[in-house]
Amino acid sequence: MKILKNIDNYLICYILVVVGLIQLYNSQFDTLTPWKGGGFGMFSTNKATNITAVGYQKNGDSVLIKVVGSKFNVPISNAFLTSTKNYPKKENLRKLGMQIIHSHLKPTTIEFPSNIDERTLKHMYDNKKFYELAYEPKYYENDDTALAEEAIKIERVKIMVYETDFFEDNYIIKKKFLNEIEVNF
Amino acid sequence: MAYSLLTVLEKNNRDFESFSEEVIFKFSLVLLVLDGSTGWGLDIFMRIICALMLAFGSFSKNKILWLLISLLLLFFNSLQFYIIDNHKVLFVYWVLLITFYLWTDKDLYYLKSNSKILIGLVMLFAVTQKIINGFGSPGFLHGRFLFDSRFMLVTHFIIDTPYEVLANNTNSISILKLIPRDHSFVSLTSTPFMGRILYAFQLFGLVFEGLVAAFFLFSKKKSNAKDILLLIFCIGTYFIFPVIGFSSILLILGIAQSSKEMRKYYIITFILIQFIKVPWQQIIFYLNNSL
Repeated sequence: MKILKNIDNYLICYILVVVGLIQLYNSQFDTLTPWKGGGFGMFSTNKATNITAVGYQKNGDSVLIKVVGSKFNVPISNAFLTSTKNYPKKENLRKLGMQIIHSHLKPTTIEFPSNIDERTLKHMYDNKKFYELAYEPKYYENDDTALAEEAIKIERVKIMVYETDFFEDNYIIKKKFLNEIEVNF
Repeated sequence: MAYSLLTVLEKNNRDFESFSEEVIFKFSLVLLVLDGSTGWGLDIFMRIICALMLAFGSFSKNKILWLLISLLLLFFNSLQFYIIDNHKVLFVYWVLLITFYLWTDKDLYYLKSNSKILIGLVMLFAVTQKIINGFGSPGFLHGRFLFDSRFMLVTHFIIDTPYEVLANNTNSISILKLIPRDHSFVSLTSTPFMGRILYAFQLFGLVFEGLVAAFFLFSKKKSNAKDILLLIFCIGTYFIFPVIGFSSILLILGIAQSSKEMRKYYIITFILIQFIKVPWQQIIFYLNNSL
């Protein structure tokens, strides 16, 4: 009886503890960011998941995709993308992949950063054709407008989840591969 | 129709039993109007309902309206659970507490004791998460101040690195995030001095947060020390990390559990905290560069 009385008096506190423990479990043993999900882990880590995508056209060419969301002319909503970035569950990644496949992709140029590591920079220059353009999902009213802006369509997409973190020793931000999925049309 | 709805609502109006209760309810409504929303859908309802409850004081303790606020917060916030900040979750807990209080026969002690424990638990989870995620080692604040645009101007003032260089870090990191290459990295410009200062702040913050947690969980209800610690924490932390919603909800929970003597300090701090909105960094940057 005493326990029941205690639960009755402090039910909300118990709910906070249960939600917090679930969040702690998901952020430590799954991919949920500590910053969100009711575990009060904001400002506790610089680790952040980041979603990278490579698309494959009909002719086999691969393109780099810049996964962006928007309220207006991008077929991926900001809310969905943010939620997926904060907790990149497989079903959401698959849904994201389908949204990318079904949209037109508009090319934008990439400026190679001077402070990126030498090996990566060399790799980027060696594969300049792939890295000089990043394709952003965009909504077009018809194919003609899309064509005018050199937007393309892809057949399949590989979505990769990485984690970036700051390392104090060398003042670097480094990315580490976590997992990937492939989504076909 | 509107008239009969108003009659039903009016029947559920309750008078405040004490000034303490009135302060708790009214400040909670102020907070909901100022920072209760997590998107336009909720925002519209919150502004209309809570602002009207404040404007027509007899409705401030209306149990139907508080139930409605709880349901709206629960519905909209659960839709975007992995997007919203943690203080929005804390808002929900607090509004649920008020609703339970109104719908049961519990007295004001229920709100007081729960708000004290809520503050303690929030701080305890925050400290636990920090310890688990390696906050005890150098790097968190240093990294944050090098690539988070909210703090870059402070970094610029401390280490005198040109602001363009720091802004360029953000661009480089966005390219790094774009490319599908494992173990690639971006080098940032900083100094060991900056690292040491920020690590000291980091450790101090962690210990202080732990102290607030311990005092709120284990000290006596009438202890003023816990209140003083929380007030220092809110002023010290949130002028650097400008999360006005978090500081506001902590202060309102503080008001709810505090003694009459300490309540005025919470209210003063609540007013002071609103100055977080002033873009201090930009103003100093502008003055530095224009004079």
